[in-house]
Amino acid sequence: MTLTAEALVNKSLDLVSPPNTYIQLNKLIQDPDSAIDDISAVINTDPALATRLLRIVNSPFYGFPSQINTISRAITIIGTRELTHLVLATSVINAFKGIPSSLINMDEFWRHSFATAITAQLLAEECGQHATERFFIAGLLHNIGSLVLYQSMPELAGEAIRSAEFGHEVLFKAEQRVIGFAHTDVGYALAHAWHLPHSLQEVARYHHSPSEAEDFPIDVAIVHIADVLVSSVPFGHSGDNHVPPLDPAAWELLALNEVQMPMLLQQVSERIDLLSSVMLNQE
Amino acid sequence: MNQPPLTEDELKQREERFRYVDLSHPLMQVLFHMQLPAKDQTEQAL
Repeated sequence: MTLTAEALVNKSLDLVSPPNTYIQLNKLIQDPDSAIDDISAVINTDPALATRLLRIVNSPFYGFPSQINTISRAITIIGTRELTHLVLATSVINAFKGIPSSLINMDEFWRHSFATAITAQLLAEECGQHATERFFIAGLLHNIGSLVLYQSMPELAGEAIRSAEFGHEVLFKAEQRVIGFAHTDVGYALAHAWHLPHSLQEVARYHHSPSEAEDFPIDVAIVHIADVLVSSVPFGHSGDNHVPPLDPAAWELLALNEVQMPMLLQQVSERIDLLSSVMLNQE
Repeated sequence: MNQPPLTEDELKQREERFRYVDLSHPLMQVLFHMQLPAKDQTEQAL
């Protein structure tokens, strides 16, 4: 029987538990009767998580002038949605800590993801989008399917990486040929199984084929362009040394000026070390 | 912005990295020729 992306994710759910605190928080955010105290209470049930979050919001990446000592204060300062996204990000990073370094350098993998997150948020601001923090988490998790492949089928994933490195195809096409599906399929299946927001599901699924996006074409186009920009520098390494093919329609949709992109990437280069440092040192 | 031209090795690495993109697109033209400060170029370490 042929293995599908959904079946792989279902098997992997035994190894990778869903981000339950994030799921609880997401429900609370959508409840108009919930208060900051309710949200703090959920986070404080996991002291390790609360400590990690306080370390992140007190880091030079955020650069707040005074110390933030409580989750309630953190919510007041950075907002419920951004803190909830940090919960999701730290949960995912922790969930996939077991990936062997012989397969891929995970610090470099996350550096690519963090750079895509910062770039996506900056692009969204350039495009005049509101609530741009959602683009940060979309960029950060766009390759979440790769993590499942690396963790659950390291041999085949390694074969696809080597094929992309030494052969003549981009990684997602090598994955389709070697495994039968790509990290985009797995990312969608995982995001769906975890009940992540629909926009994150679409970004995971279509960031290499943004014209196929159904409900969130702007979100998908922004992360697609961010991935291309970040791979061009490159910041980090997602498993593929090549810049993924650009969908010109996605670029046109955003109506940006290409001449501004080096300056935007310069801003990314000034922030990426700060973000990587605080996100990857979470013990 | 005045930037030194790419060395032959840098040009080869870049051509390989941009192998699957259409370099006639204006965005890709800009990205292909772009140079950021050396500390952010992790390509040497890969």
